[in-house]
Amino acid sequence: MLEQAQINAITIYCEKRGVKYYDVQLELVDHIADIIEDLQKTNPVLSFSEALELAGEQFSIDEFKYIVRSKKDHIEKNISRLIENEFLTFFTIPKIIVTITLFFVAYFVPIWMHTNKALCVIVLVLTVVPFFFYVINKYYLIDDLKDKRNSAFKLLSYKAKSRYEIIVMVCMYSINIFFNVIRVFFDWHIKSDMISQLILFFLVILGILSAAMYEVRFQFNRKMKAQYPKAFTS
Amino acid sequence: MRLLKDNGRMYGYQITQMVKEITKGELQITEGALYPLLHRLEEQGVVDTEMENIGNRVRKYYTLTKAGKKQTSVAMDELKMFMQSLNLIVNPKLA
Repeated sequence: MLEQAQINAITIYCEKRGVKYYDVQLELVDHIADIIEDLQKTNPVLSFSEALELAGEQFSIDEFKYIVRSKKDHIEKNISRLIENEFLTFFTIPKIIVTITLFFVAYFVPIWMHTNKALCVIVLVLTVVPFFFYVINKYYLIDDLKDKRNSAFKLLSYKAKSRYEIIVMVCMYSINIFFNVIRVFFDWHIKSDMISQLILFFLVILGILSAAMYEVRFQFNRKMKAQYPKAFTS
Repeated sequence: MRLLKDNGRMYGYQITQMVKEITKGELQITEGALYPLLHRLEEQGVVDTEMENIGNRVRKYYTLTKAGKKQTSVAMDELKMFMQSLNLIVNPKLA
């Protein structure tokens, strides 16, 4: 059985050949380690570094690239599917009820207050709900920070997730700002209550969607932690 | 897929070695062919994976899913039919 230092040497060998991420390296490191062990079994005088060179010769540079590309495609597709599934499972019956309740709160509170303070309610919903999920994430996922600091365990899955997350969040918040601007415009210039309330409805939905994204992030991290526990321990 | 069906769970290197052993070295699966194929099968839900710590490293095991087992049986039947047809073309006297 190879020692930890030897496994680290194989990891560095893979990194030099363009396999930078832990979740891509994992299988290749084990494969090369198996080849080395077999080589040393048949030729016990063979040193580790000689065996590593011989094992590496079995992979052409193109082969390394091909495996990495295929793994990247696989991870990216998996992450998209995982995020989509988690996103859909977020919308359970109780959450839909909460969404509808929040909408009615946002709709009726300004009426009860006899002033058009709906914007305050929206801001409250859009700020408090995602913030709540953000705090939960931070609290439960301290290990996530360790991962970022420890470059030896960089995960491609995280890169894929972050890209996906950034796109979704930028889209959602852009729509949010756009609707808010339109709403303020209608409030100030056209005084159309119907359009104003319609926009309000979309804004509440957006607030819930952004909360769903935080929940997806939490579930994603939990799954990654279960799959690659070494990447989460310093 | 047949190997996975017969052996339960296997890891990449084990598959390459078993193929080499069964075919007496006539057929060798390169790593560049094996892993992309395994990743594709995982995507299609044909195989499932699990990680296990082996000494100082992590090993990824592949197992056939229920759908994968069904698919393997169908593929093996199709392959047998194809081999029979091919045999008839090579040896027309058998017909």
